[in-house]
Amino acid sequence: MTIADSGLEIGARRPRPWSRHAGVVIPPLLVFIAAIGLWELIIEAFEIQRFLLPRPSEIASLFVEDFGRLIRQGRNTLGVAGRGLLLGGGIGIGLAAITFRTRWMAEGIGIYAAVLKAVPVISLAPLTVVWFGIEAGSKIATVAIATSPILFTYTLVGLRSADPNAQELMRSYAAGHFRTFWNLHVPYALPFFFSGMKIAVTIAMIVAIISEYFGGSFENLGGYIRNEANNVHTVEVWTAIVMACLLGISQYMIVAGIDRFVLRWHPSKRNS
Amino acid sequence: MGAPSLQTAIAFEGLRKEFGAGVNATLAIESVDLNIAEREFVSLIGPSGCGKSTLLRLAADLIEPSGGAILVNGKSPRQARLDRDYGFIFQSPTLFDWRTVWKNVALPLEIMKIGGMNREKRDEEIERLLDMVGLDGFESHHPYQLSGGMQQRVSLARALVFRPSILLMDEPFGALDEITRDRMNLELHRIWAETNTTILFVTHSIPEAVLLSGRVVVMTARPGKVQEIIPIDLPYPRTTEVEESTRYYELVTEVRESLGMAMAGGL
Repeated sequence: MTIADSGLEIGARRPRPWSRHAGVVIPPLLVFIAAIGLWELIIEAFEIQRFLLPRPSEIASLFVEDFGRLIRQGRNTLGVAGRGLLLGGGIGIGLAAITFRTRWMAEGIGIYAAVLKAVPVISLAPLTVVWFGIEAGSKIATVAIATSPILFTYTLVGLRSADPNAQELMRSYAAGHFRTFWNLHVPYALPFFFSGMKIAVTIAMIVAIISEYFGGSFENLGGYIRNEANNVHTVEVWTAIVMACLLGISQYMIVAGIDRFVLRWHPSKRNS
Repeated sequence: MGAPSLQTAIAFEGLRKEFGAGVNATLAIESVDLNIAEREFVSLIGPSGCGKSTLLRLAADLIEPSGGAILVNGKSPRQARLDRDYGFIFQSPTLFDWRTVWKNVALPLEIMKIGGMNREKRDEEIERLLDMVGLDGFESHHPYQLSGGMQQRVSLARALVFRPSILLMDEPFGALDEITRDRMNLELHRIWAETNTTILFVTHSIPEAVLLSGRVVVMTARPGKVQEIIPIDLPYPRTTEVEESTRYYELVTEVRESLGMAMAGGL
């Protein structure tokens, strides 16, 4: 066997892509497997009852069995989270775009955005039910209330971060408000917008599921969890939680992926 | 340069600029009278805080005067700005990182939507300018992939692309190393000679001011006033040979002494 055959020489000089990613993927994967193993072991050792904490293997097999229904319910929850985010984002980003040039207006709204971020918005969920009914409308409204201040704040800071010299450059071109906004302020706001979105998608999912706890259809993750938990069907509850986690993570990764792609030029994303 | 037959490109008359108000007001510029002829290359030099950048920004309508008058191509600075009569070059290249070199140079044309310029002609113009500033082959690079000197070249091409009759340059090469700066100076001079542009150039480098200019305006500090206007009677084109001539050194000394007096007066 030559040195080249062993792969040592090549591997030492230029690590292949998979081995570069391996360092990132393998350690957390090992921790995950160990945790699941420990979970199974603890249930075995302490004879923990099924309704308190089911085995991971049991959850996994039911998850596979119920996958079709879980996906359908997940889609409904995702629909509520998505529409709420669209509405909240529209309001937050719109207000930021309108007010960022006028300090007193932005500050006036900013205070309420800060208050809204500080209060547990989910406590408003029963109220939105009174206003918008027990079905999707009230849940979309709650998600919108929770996400709009996040996107308002991040977008506002981003729009304001535009380089003053570049603003003067646009002024020297006698560029109109819209052109300056589009060509200068929007690119500067994008990194901040994406940071806000990464938080907002997670919040939207959380608020959507908890809103569903307060009543309405069972054909969504929150409704299903509420129903199964009332009947002490702990394994079923767990499968819905797993689905919620998977959806939350994939949403975040999609936003992070778009962020990486759109902001290739940004110092934080450049490949050296 | 500065022959009387030429029209006045920029005129400052009894110009005054105060920053702030009341007790905290500082007088940045006081009674500045200065005429810059078309096709002239004039440098403003002075100690820091002498208001040379302020003068430039007043001409560009980026700030407004407290008193006196400014005419740019016979118009108010605001009208000249709206007519896109001048290009402004900052000390930092002020390029858009999300745009390629090509698209950075195309920016003013996109914004101004200059009439009668079709895409083909526009592309030709951008290509010509990138060639002129020595950047062909870098069209699809992003600004952060270029050196500081190259970035400033992009900024120069971007300022020239819409063919303004006046260039206002605020210490454009101040952040560059000596070697790059020397080369950029000679190139700027060549471009000036090729393009019929009037240049008002702010600098704090005496050799740079002497090498490039038809006249050097020495300013005093706090408040900024014109101390002396020194005509530079060096032959054209300005090359490295000119830089090594005795007359060049005499003029550098003259500007330095005038500047010394300006600073003594300001203290």
